[in-house]
Amino acid sequence: MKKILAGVVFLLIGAVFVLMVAEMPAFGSPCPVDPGVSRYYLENALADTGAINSVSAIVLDYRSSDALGAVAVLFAGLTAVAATLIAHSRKEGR
Amino acid sequence: MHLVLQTVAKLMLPFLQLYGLYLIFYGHISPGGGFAGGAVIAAGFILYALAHDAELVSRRVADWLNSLAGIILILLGFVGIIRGSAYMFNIPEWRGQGGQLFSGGLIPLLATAIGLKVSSAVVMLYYYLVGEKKNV
Repeated sequence: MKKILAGVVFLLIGAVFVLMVAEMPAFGSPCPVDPGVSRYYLENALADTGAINSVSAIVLDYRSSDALGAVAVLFAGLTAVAATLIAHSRKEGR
Repeated sequence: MHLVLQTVAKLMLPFLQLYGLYLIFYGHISPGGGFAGGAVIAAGFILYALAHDAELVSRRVADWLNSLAGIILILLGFVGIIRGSAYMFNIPEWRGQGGQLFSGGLIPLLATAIGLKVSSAVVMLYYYLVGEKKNV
């Protein structure tokens, strides 16, 4: 029963992802959303931040809260691994 | 472990560390950044630990560095608030000349903190997983 349920959930999630990919624009077609923000980043990154690498300028200046979130996710993952493995080794009496 | 593996790991370690530091400190000039550089530094430590079966950085030190880097990253965000603008806002006076090492304001400092955080976190993950294998 549990396996059937897991399979149904798995298929549903897979169908959602396939539908998402089907909705994507064709390769090479123009961007369907307004490209104003990305164009602003590419044109003004050096003048705004002083960093030549515009990827760094976006990640660590315009969107630095996202970088903080990524580091928080890393910390959460490390905490989850530590909690799981330490609890596992304690249960076996070591 | 084999002698060739141990010797090669010992010889590779400083170059891997230097490359990781280069990726971190030049992240605002060339491709790279905190995450990539931290992963390379952690790969050097993991290679040494795999070859020698010894922990070059102890688990306690890695844990402290991880927490310290997180605190530094959060405190660097408050610089913007102290200066009267938004959280994680850059310092416009430190923008510098584009292309030089000391440019970009807070970006290199943030990249350094992120690199320290990522490298210590990956090394900690490796220690936890290897300790699990030794326990079983």
